[in-house]
Amino acid sequence: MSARMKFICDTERCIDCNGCVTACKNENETPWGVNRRRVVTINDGSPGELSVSMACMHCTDAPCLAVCPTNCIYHTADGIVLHDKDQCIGCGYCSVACPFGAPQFPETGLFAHRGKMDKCTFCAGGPEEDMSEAEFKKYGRNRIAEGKLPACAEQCATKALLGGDANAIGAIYKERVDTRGYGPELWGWEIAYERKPK
Amino acid sequence: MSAGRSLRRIALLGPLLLLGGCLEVPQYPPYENGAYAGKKDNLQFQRGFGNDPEKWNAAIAQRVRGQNEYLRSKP
Repeated sequence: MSARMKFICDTERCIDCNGCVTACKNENETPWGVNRRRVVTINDGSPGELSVSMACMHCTDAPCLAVCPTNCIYHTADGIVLHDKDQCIGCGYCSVACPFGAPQFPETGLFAHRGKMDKCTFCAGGPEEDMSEAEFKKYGRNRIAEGKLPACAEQCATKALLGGDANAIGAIYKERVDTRGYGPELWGWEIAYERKPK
Repeated sequence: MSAGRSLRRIALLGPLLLLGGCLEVPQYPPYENGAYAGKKDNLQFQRGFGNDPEKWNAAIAQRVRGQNEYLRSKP
């Protein structure tokens, strides 16, 4: 069975260094204003603040894929969500549908001109010949075809950001939680998982 | 306005209005079942790994394991 590629960000480890954002921009040479990945900090400056690194989550049931009027978004065999920039019309429907704000648009101009959508590719390029110049220019580097993981996850100093096969990184995360003795002190965790008193 | 004049107007405009409907074109594109319509992508292991998925899987699995620092030292 092929892998299903996912990201997990351990909020207990993320230190808001923005190394992942820098690594992504450097690896994919994205233009000014396009941030495929960014770090969000909740309760910034207050005790107990938490940071999480956010990008495309490569959803299994991706809403962007469902709403795209030109059907330019697809899943690879490994569950990575990619898109064809030649087919994209820059309508922005995917941006509205995405719950994580992943789709980015490189231009702002007259008549709401936005340019072609750009988003995290899990460093897997796009529908061009793998590791070609055309692929790099349109989608960035294809590290997955080189047998490597996304640059953001591999360079993470605290290993807060994990990328790879969902089961494998889930096991790494579980081991951490078991070792430190508590789960993520995450916003919404109690709402989602707190057992109600009988 | 005389009745003859009205009849003449109806006789002239009536067919035009009726024929106007003939210019209507269907506005709904055919349903495509949401299938991907862009360029075909090749598989990740085809270029760099000589079309060997096992080799590629092993390389990726090795990198994934590398993210687990507990394998090097347990706290």
